[in-house]
Amino acid sequence: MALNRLSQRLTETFKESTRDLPILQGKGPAAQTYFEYNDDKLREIAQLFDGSNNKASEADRLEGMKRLIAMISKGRDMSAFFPQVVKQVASPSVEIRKLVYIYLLRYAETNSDLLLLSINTFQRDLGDPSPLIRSMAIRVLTSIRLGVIQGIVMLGLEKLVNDRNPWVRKTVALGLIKVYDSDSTTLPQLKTMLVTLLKTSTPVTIGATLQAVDSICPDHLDLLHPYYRKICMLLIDSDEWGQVVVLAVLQRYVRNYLEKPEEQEVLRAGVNKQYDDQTPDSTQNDNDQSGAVFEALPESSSAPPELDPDLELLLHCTLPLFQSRNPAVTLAAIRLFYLCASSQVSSEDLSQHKIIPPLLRLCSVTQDTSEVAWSAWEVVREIAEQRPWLLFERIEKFFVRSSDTVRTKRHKIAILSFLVSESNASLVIREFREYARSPQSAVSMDAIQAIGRCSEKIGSVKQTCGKVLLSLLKSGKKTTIAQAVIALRSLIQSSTDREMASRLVLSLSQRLSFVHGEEARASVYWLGSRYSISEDQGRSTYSEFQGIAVWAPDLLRNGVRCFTTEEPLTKIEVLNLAATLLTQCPGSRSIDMLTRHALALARYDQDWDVRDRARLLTGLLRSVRQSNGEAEDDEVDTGGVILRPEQIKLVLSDCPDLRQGSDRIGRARRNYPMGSLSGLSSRPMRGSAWDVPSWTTDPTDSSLRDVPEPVSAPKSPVFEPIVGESRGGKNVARALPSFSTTQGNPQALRAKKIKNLDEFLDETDTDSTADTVDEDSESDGGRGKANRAGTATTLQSQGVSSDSSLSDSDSDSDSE
Amino acid sequence: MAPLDGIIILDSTGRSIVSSHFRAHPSSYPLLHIDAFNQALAKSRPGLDVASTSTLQELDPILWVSVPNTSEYEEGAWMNTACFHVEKEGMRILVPVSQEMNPMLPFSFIYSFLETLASYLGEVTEHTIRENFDTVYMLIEAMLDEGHPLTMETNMLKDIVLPPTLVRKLLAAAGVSGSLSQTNPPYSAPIPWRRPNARYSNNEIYFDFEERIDAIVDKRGKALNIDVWGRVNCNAKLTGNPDLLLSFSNPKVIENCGFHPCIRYKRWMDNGVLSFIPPDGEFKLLDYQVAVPTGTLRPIGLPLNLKAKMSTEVGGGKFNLTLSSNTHGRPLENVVISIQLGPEVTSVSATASGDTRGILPGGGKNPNYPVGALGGGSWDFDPNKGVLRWMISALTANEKAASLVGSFICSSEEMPSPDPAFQVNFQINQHILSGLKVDHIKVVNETGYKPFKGVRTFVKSGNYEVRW
Repeated sequence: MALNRLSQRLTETFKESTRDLPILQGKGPAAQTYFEYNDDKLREIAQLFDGSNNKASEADRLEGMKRLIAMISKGRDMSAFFPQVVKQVASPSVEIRKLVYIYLLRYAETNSDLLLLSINTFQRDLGDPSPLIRSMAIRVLTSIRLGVIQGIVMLGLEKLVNDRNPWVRKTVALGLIKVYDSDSTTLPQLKTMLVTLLKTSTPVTIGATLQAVDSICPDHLDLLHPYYRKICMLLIDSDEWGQVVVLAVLQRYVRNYLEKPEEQEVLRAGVNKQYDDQTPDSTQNDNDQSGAVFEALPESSSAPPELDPDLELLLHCTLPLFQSRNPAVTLAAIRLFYLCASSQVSSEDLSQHKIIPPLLRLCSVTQDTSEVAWSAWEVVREIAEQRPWLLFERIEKFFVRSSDTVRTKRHKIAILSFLVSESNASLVIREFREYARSPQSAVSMDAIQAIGRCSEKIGSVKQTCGKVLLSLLKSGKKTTIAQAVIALRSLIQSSTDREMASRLVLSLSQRLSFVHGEEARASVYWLGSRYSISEDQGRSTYSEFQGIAVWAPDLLRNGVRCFTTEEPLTKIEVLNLAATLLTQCPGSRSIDMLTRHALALARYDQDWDVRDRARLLTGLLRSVRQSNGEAEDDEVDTGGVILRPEQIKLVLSDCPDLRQGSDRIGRARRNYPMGSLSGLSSRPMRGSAWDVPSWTTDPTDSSLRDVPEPVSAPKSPVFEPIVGESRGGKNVARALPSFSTTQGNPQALRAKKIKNLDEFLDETDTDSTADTVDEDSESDGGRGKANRAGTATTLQSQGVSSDSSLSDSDSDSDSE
Repeated sequence: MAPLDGIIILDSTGRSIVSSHFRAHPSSYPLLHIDAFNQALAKSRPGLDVASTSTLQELDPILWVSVPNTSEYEEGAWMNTACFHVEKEGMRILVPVSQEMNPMLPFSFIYSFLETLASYLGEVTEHTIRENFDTVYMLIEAMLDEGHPLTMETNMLKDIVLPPTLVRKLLAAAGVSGSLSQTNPPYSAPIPWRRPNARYSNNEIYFDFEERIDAIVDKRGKALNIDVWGRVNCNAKLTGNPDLLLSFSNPKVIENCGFHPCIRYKRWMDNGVLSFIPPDGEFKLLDYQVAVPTGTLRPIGLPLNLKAKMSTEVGGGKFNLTLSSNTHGRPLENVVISIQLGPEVTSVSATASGDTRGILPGGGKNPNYPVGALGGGSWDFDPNKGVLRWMISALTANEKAASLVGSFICSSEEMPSPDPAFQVNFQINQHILSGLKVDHIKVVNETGYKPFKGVRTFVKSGNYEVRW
């Protein structure tokens, strides 16, 4: 209220102050003048609207509107001009009106009272002969969101929901969403209108209509039952943006109401087994291995899986969308197949495997679509993690290029490590080794880590991995060496071959001086304390070091020597090593001295974890040191328990694994739906449009989807944008009548439809379009005979005639 | 599908030129996104501190922005939103999204928006956008209805939002604006992508087949992976609504296509022909991938043979490259082989040699060798970027292999870390790797004219790299 008064006052002041100014000079000012902002400019704008003697020319007003919009885009508050702008609503110039709409939409909420003055104009526009004006009027009306005019808006929507122009109906569909947003109590009326829209849906309107269904009643997809098959048919001719919506909604519909395709448990089990196989007992050669993945198939393909015919129809209609130029459509189609199609390779070829070539197409980088490739790699990685069997055959597509971005490289490495199996392990490890050379340390670290993971996953390549990692120790790059040591540690840890393990530990301890980095050096000491115990008593040349590996005392010596310069984590491991060695051969004077030295240093360390560890070990080792007969001069008897050496060993060997935390590749993201923004960002986003409902256990009967009565044919010739011939060809259009006329069990439906498909395949004559028109006309809504002929002139004249008939029929509603 | 929140166009300094929609959000919302974007951009660009190149972060095309929660339905003080952005002529197009959606959709929308702008403004630059900001606004308004794509086809938009032609500007300047009647009634075009009533005195249609080869070649010269991607750009200047049929004599060599919406899928799947009513003017007809023939592993053989050897040691390294062409008939042109040697490398010395029969002793070109045999080409090294490049203007299959032998040294006793692969760039004019052959192009409906038809082919390298 106050605002309104203020704005009126402002306008008056403007009028006063601008009265004496000369009329604006120069008509087409340079762009820069639009964006300048100062009081003079505001005055000029006001001047433009009012003109001299309140008779501004149309050009002036247009100019004024343009300046207002420019100011808005600069982020200025231009609501003061509301009164002037509202006056322009009835302007004869469409140009001005379009700008006015933009302005009104921006400030409608703040100046609702003034806006009410213009409602009449919009109402009148709802009956305008031009479909553009009608659709713009309903857009503005629905965007105003004032409780007072709710009734008017609903009347308008109800009037236009049956508009003959599909573009107008599309705006109506989007308008329903806005009305629902501002007042959810209108739901029953909105639902009725939605059903009307569904009944008359065309390729133009279907996207917006389903958008409305999805926004208004996402849990009532049962609305779609009678229209499901029609929507499937319309899918291919719909515009790209509509297809994205339809696919997302039908995905949910399918999982809610249709029968889940049989999972091929054999296949999945087989793959998982091979995938997780740790035992190196396989002796099959490469070819056999790759075949093994699909070995389980022949039985199942002899008995084709029973696919719900309605699901089959949708998948059939979706198949061509893989070839869309629009990456959003391709991804939506991929998602539908991923979530709803069978995992089996069936004869109809509607399996999940279909998604891989189009997905890889999205991944291929061209300069103008690098953003799409970036997102596509995220999706591939997700698939590799969850359903690696889909990607097994394509492994070389995921080889890293040095021209890839770091993020893509890391994704590819992750993908490869998900896909690694007995058969391709050596190839993949060779690749990883190549990537370890990468100058980008993040990439090379990932690659080295991946080698470690390979060795854990595939038992038979442990040796190779060990060799590769050892060779990386010579690379001379600090980060590479550090990462290689860490990878080696996990390899040794998971190894059952103790002989190989202690050999690896030996070479590691020898290269200690080249190893940098806290975790890496800590790993060496940790391994040292784990593998220093030697069963072979005779191997040690010095009798003093009985029972420990020959390299162990020197490792400890090095550790103690550099103790003060090490990082805390490393210090703790040095202390552990000292304690282990001392317990193992308590008689050694050198080790005892080293241990005491280390403990003394640690006692006054800055890091409290180190001090704490030193205290713990001092207490733990008391029995050992007492048995050495040493005087505990610095320690009085503090009481407590004294452990026997065997107990000490147990305590020491039970110290926590270093393995935790190094496993960065398998970050958890499976809680988010596939191909979703949440999944990409690993953080939850609002909204449920991308949700994946779990498959229903109680699929609905297919008779629900039979069309109850023939879709009522339009009363008068209806204008319809068409393409001459459906993009899907006659086949798609013909399958519908077969559905609508056949009542009964799904098997019958299925047989009927397949026969139709076969018939179609036999037909090669491409010019027989006209023959099928009669069949089509019933189901195809507005697609009349003349339109099929596809000549521009007839279409044009029809468009005009339908428009003129509209204006006639609309004239009486104007008088309301 | 959740709506897009709006669209922002930033100029090259990171300030907004156009910012539209966002009605469901507080006015700080777009500003937060602009800030987040500018910060991320600054982190990805070397600033004054050149030494810090290693700390540069890649600019992800989707940024994650936390904004104060304004929705009463959700709990929590912050909510996660995404900022999609695309670069164009130094400008950035930002599309913030606050709800879960198809992650490709905002990008598709931006591409489509830019395409539309290009057809309206000619070239899309800061200047043209500022000059025609009202058109841009009206376009956004027509394309998005509260974030839902409404009218996206350029040809339909042109009926709704009139393009800013010179004539219209003149008329506007002269004060005559309302008298301009629209050429076509909006929302009445029978074919969404085609301008109705197109008229040309010369009916012509041109097809440009462009193939791009991506390859990874290992150090022994064996191809680890080859992908050949094709694209057909079309320029149609045809009267009326011609229904075209493009057929190939060997359609099986291509697969995994991405079609313009005008193409009828079914006809392609059944008969391998492209049947379509083309849009008016220039457009991309299809993308495709060259199929791998049965019984083989790779779609094609390698078009060139590059043997790359490199060894590194503390303080420097050596390299030895040998290049020959495998493409018979057409020469490889503008061959550039490059590698990032890394920031440590300060200087390179090398010798390029090759077949010199194409050069006369005086230095002129030998007419017996119209192309190729021009010696070993030339090389250069940019110490600032650390990039070594070897350039040969033309190379034919029947000449002696060219070679580049040399070494490089580092500034200090460091281990150089060159890229593990050489990037290869080249092009082959009037050549097609897939061997795809156009059988015929015909107009199947009655148009009363026979168009002039032209087909061009072109091959270029995509991501082609040879490891050492």
